Amino acid sequence: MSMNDQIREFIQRELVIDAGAPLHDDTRLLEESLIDSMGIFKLASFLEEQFGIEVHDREMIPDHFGSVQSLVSFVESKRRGAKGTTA
Amino acid sequence: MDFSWSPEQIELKRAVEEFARNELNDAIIERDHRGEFSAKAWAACARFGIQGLPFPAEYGGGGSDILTTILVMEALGYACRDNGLLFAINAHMWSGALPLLVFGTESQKRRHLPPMCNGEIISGNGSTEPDSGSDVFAMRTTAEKRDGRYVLNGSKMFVTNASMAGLLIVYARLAGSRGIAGLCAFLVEKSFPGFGIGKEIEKMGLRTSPMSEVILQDCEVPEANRLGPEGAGMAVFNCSMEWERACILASNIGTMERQLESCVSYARSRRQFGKPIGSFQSVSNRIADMKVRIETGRMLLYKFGWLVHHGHKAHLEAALSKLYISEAFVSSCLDAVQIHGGYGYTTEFEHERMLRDSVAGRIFSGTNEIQKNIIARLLGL
Repeated sequence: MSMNDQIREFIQRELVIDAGAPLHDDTRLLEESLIDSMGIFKLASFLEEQFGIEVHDREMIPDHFGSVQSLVSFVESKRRGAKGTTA
Repeated sequence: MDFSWSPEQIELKRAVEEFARNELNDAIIERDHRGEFSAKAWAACARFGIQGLPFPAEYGGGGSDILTTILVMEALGYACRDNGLLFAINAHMWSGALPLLVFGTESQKRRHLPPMCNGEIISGNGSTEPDSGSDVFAMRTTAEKRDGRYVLNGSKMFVTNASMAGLLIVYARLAGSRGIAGLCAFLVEKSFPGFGIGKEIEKMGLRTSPMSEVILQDCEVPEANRLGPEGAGMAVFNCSMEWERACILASNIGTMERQLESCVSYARSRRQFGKPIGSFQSVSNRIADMKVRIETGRMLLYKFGWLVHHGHKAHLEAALSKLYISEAFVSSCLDAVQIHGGYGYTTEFEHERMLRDSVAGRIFSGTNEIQKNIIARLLGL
């Protein structure tokens, strides 16, 4: 399962307030009020556990959490950053 | 598990208790009656290093870790009888200085943190509005971007420290934005045009801590005073609340400890029907309940501190601590009044003021109903 699919599946299963709303990679999760502030905490914990990254308080912003695609980009950049640290 | 404190922490606790006992308890009953904040006590705390305690030394802080900070707050609660002062200090630290530390640019931190740490600037936050309390993210205060600045319009309610603050973190919604993605946080200085303070709000308790409405009428805020990127308002607020929820009630643990000692002393000395009242189970059972609450609240609080100290997320533990300790404090205050009987109802014995002060804990930093919602959501509901 791709990272996009893993994240989308978690959001639809655990977080989406409006269960009937379509969820595409570019759906605006926060602007469309599909997830709320508590949902962001749970999503951050999921990203940490599933992808082995650390999500700081200051990173829980719309630029990273605004859509499935931005979440994927965020995780990938964290992983690249971690690899650079350990190289 | 090792629950012990280091010799340095124990010595610091003792020093804080001595300082608080000697310098922070002047005329509390009278000042509570008048609703008067003690600027003298605020300054004394700043000189001692309280306001700057957990902040890095490079910004004028004490560089203490979270567990040491919690221990100091507990010691303050034990020896300082002015709950309003402690509330004002906590609001300044957790809703003002801490979000600046986490989200601020280096320039913002270097400019504002040193005077916040040395107490020269008092801060707080403006988030609640007349029509949005628990539903805080439904706020209506707007921020319109114009010519390199933001123009804020709206009002904020129940702003602790507002009348004395040199700087407030004010939350507003970007004009034309939708949902929580549009929320921003701003460092609003008292001198900014369009910033106004409404009249002082008289309260049931915490009366020595000032609280006012804040009015923003075309309040001009430079872009350099935005805290975090556009849309980071929710993240700033949540970060602030997590620390505030746990740490603001650390002093209540110390206060409950002092209450317990007072009740034990009274129960041993007060005699009725030929016996100390402590020999009656209706009294001794209350005292046992008070002890259970203190130790349970303490464990919840210390676990929060331990998790944060070790870099773990602690959203659940913050909500558990806040919910339990605030309810425990109200219950223990009621018990303290009851144990002291008629004397407990008088201002002289100060238990009635503790009770009035305690009720606010069920409301601020997110009501206890909201804490239960948070806990349930984090459990998967």
